[in-house]
Amino acid sequence: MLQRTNSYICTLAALVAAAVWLLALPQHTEAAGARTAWVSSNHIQVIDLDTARVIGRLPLSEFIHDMDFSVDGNRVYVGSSKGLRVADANELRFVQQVSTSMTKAVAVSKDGSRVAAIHPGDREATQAARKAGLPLPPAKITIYSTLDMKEQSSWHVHAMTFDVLFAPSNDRVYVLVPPEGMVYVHDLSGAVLDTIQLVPRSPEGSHQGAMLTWMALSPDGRSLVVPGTTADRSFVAEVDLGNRRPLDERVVHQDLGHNRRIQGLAWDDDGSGVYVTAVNSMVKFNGLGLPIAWESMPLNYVDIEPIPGTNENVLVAPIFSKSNKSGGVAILGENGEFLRTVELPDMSPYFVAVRP
Amino acid sequence: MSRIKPLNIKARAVEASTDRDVRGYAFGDCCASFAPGWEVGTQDNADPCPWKSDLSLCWGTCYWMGQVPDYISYGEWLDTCGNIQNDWRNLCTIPDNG
Repeated sequence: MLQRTNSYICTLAALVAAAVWLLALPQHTEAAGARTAWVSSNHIQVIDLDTARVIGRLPLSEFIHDMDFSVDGNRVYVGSSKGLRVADANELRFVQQVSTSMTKAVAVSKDGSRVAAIHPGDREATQAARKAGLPLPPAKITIYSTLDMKEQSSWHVHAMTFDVLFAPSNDRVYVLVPPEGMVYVHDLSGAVLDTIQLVPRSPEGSHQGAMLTWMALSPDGRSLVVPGTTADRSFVAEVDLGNRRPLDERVVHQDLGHNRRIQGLAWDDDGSGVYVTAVNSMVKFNGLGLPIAWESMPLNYVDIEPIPGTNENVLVAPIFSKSNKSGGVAILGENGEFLRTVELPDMSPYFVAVRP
Repeated sequence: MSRIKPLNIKARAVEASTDRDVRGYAFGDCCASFAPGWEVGTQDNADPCPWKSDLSLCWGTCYWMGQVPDYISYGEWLDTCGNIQNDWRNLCTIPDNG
């Protein structure tokens, strides 16, 4: 009797194991062969761009501040409220926690050899400084080798440093410091090579209340754009990095004609322009900052990413359907038409990264 | 707003007033800061941008300190909130430590 029971248990266990294996297999196979977008809130969901289906989930319970793919598309570097992690883009799982410090932004060098990350200062020290009215503890930029994710260098920067990007030459980084209205250019040891004032400073040293959010570098590396919003207007600050204009005209502000807050920002992968999403609208600007396409949006899409090699874009909306209480993802065609959408009942996506 | 009908003299006076008591004081149509705190558009239409829809961006840039915690001091604020419409009860209450 006991032998028969054991036999049943073994058979049942084998069946369960086989079922688990079968359930797991298609997800990995799908991820390896599909065009995918990774969208995030406090976890990640992987969307098949051709079918607009969720094909994988990476649980985390940490708010994700930024994601960036490795050059070959096989790794995803994820900066969250509690660390810097590496995910396997084929197996759809985290494979390494590189740091336990909050990570505000991540960037992969064009040659794929390095990752730059912004780690804000210590929380307790920040709170104490705020109460005492003292300057906040600095944040830190850290450069990691993608070979082993070991730290290669690090240096301190302004406490509210918000974004970092590698230059195409891979030997320097652009660092956005919104409270100063400034982009700093550092070499990889942290030395300041250049500064770019995006917004004029007032006599008191402030930057006139302009809110600067992300940076986006054109594919040819000759143009850096940073959107900004003030109480009166929204604009795109375009920085000439290719010596096309005189030095005193290096930064040009292109007015968007409204004061809607700019949210998503991404260069088209063919270099034809930069996409900007604001409240209820999407605009594409050409390299000279002139609007070349405008699309009214029924929703508030907070991030956008072009799908490489196509004229399609992926957009994410934290509130996609109020009635269904879902977030959502939309894939738009070249004329701004909706090709596919997917509602995410368990997610309000804030960021999207498309696998190369 | 148009569905609300005034029932007394004071309410009719409020309705007749051209000085709106709800106004976006920072950004006209975004979900930044509304006084006295209701979520409506500048023309009293339904909110064009629910407060939830770019919460993390308000948070991340630390621009509207009164509405959201700063991300350095309260980095875990959104950690248990995967879907802001369903999980908003999980948002941490930030203590006022003076």
